Amino acid sequence: MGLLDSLSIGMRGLNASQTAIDVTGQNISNANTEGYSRKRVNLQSEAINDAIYGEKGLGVEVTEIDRIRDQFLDRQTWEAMGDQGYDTQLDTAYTRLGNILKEPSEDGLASKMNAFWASWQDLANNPSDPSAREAVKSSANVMIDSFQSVYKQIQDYGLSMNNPLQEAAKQVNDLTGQIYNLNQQIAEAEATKGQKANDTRDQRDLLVRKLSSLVDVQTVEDSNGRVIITSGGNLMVGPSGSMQVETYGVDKTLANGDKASELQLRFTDSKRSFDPRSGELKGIMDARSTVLSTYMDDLNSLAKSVVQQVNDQHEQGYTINHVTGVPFFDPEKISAGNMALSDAVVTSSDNIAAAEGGKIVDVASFAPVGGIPAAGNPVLDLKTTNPNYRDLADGSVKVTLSDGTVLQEGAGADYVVDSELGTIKFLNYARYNAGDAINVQFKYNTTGYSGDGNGQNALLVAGLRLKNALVPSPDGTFTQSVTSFYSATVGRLGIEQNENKSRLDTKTSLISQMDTEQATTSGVSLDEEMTNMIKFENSYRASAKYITTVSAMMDVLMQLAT
Amino acid sequence: MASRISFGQISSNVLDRLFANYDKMEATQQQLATGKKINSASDDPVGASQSMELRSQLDQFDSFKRNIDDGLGYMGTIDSTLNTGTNLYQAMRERAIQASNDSNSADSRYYIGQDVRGMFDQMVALSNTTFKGEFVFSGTNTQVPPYEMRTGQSTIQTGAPINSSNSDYVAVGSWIDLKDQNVTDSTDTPSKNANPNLIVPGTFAISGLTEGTDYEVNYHTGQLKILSPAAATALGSGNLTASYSWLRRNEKDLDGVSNREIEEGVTARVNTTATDAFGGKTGGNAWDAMIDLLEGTLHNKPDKIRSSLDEIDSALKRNLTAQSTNGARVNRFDSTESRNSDRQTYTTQLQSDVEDVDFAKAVSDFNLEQAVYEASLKMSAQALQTSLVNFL
Repeated sequence: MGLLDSLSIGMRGLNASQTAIDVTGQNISNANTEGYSRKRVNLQSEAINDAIYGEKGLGVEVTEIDRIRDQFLDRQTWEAMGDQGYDTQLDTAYTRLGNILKEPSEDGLASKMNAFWASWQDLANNPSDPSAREAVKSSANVMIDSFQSVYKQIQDYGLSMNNPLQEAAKQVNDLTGQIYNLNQQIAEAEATKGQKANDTRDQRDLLVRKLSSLVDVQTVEDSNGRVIITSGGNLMVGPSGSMQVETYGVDKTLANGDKASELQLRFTDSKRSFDPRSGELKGIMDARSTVLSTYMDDLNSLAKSVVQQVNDQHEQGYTINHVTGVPFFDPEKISAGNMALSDAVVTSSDNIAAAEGGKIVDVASFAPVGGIPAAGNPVLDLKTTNPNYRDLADGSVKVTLSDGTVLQEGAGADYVVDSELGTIKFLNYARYNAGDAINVQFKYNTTGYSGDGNGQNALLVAGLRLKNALVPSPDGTFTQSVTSFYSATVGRLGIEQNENKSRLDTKTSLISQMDTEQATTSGVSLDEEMTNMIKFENSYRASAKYITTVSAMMDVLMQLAT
Repeated sequence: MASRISFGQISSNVLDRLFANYDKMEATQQQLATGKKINSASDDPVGASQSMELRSQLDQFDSFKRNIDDGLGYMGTIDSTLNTGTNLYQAMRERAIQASNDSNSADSRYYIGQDVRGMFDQMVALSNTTFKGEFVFSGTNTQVPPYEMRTGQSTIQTGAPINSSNSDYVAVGSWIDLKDQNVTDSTDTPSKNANPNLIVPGTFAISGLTEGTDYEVNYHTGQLKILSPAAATALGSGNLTASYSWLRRNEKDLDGVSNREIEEGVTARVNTTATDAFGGKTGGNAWDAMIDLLEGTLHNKPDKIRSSLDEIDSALKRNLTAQSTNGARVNRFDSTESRNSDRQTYTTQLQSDVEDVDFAKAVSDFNLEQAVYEASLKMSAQALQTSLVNFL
């Protein structure tokens, strides 16, 4: 063995130190790079078998550059990321809902409802006072506005989720595409060339992490180093490509009758719907289909109960014009999004029924003896059959001829009704003949008008706020009033939000712990790198010194030769 | 071996802790800014729903308070009216005693009668007392006065022969109802509902005829009796016109009950009806007493005056009963009002406990959290600065 060998030992030493310094430099440079795992140089001493001395050192060799990372921890983190993404979306929805409901406050729906009920109390005190009537009407309008505004805001919020859903779907496609590309690069380097693709793996892990917060990911690494990803049981990234997802619109009818499109997810190729198990995508879809719709349903139940209860009571009372059977709200519009005052009340607050009546009795079928009266005396007096057939409910009279023709009420039409007296005056003998058999359908009030100063019905309406009419228990009785139902709804929102928030906090701190743990393994410690730098600098210096020494020895040898 | 601490780990930990501290401080800050512990339902779900219930209750107490105040005003009006009524009845009674004295001449009785007539008008005015534009004694028909003075005329067909058996003509010597005799009323045209009864003595006149000799009047029922055929025939065949003032009790139902809700599910009556205060439609009401007194004094009929004394006594008694019933209702409202205001105070306090921030605590919490936040900022700045690099 000659001096040239010695020189090559020095060379190898210099090379190894330089590589190590390079890796240290790379580590320091990437101390803040997202997803970067620290690298470590693996050194190994080289030796040959010497005939005389046995194994003899030939210096050092860099065997490989290791990537230090806990893969198992990564997988756990990805799973937690999915849950966190899901809960984050729900939390956003709950917070937004809380902001929309704005309870408890002076501006919320609850206070508008309270004002509505209170206005009926005031009307009961002064039933003949037109300003008390106007106050009821205006407080009802304010309450309706509040119902509609809350409902519409929730509905709009649900529709606004189309955008983030579309955005998230695009990101999923982007990420799975990139992961597939990196898979190819890694397989190319590792399986074909036998090289370690450390930094590409770092990049890929980072992308998978990003994907895992959007949808749930299950990963398997194949023999070529490719990562196979499935989500919700569907293959997302395979050995030969990534599956693309797309959004498609589903038509939905809104409270005001407009149509709107709600986006859903499916695979671009197969058109099969894509339903991830967790992640932000699932969170957005669940927030919309479960959380928002639950509270919209609750608002609808509330609105329906208010409309129906008030109408039932209101129809029993008498307006200031002695008319009974007038609805207060439009009976056709029973959702929070479209509730409205009845036409009669819109026309005049005189049509608010403050005065007490009895019960409204429905006479579904009544055939007066003699049928249609003669033209000379065209008045059919229902009272002659039954003295109670008077005080007919507003608009409840329906006259049908035996052939099924329904006659029209009105001064220019077939007949007019005097509701108070229970008489029907026939006008249009061109359409029928005296004596024709008819069927009359009507509703009457069992109690007569008791005067403008009677506010008993207003008092009964005001009392509805505490009447249990919602949430039936198994025995069929109701357990909640409109007031308690709504405060329970708001309370439930708070509880659900807090439950979700505490789940979210748990997941967040779990991820943070796992990140810390991962950082302990794979993060760059500047102190450590500095120490390494000094260490390798010194060994570089020493190797150089060694080469100088060997070179001096060679000089000595050369002088001998001359 | 000590565990490795990497740079990224330190910075993310520092950030996490700073955020956590800031969050806490921000929450307390919001409480201080709004003065409310509960700014959204999630701050305290149970508290939030409790607070909403309490708000609703408070609103109700407000309503009850308004109802009670309104009712007290209503009943106060009634009380002062009935009180004036008591004084009037007592004055009337004095006049009756004075007039019943046999030493009175017809003239002096007549002057007393003039005085009583003034009281009668005053009583009619009292019966038409209003509160906020509503007639308090009209039951629930508060837009109509319970009693009204009307002037009317009845045109009585006499004709010859006056005692003909023809039913269209008036028979002599039998009572006829004025209401059947083609009534013209001062207010109702056509006077379909005019039913003159309770005719005020002193206002009835048939021109050319004299009361007592030519005809007799039942002032209570509004009936007339022509006494002599000569009286009628003297005027020739034709019509007799009787003119008079009468007190009309409104035909509508004046007995409606007006209630106020003064507590949850508790309604209490506030109104006193015309029947309570002045008696029913017919028979022995306050007006009958006054009419007897008027007739007795104006037409010098001592027996009427004497019988009116008992009637005035019973009218006074009715009035006092109405007044004490009303007083009992006032007491009920008063005691409910004080209970209501107690509950209001108590509930307000409860709501404040649930909803409002304890400022002393919140301020001290805030100061503590601020100190912690600042300390963590300072320490983080120092911790992040140091590494081996600084010393090489």
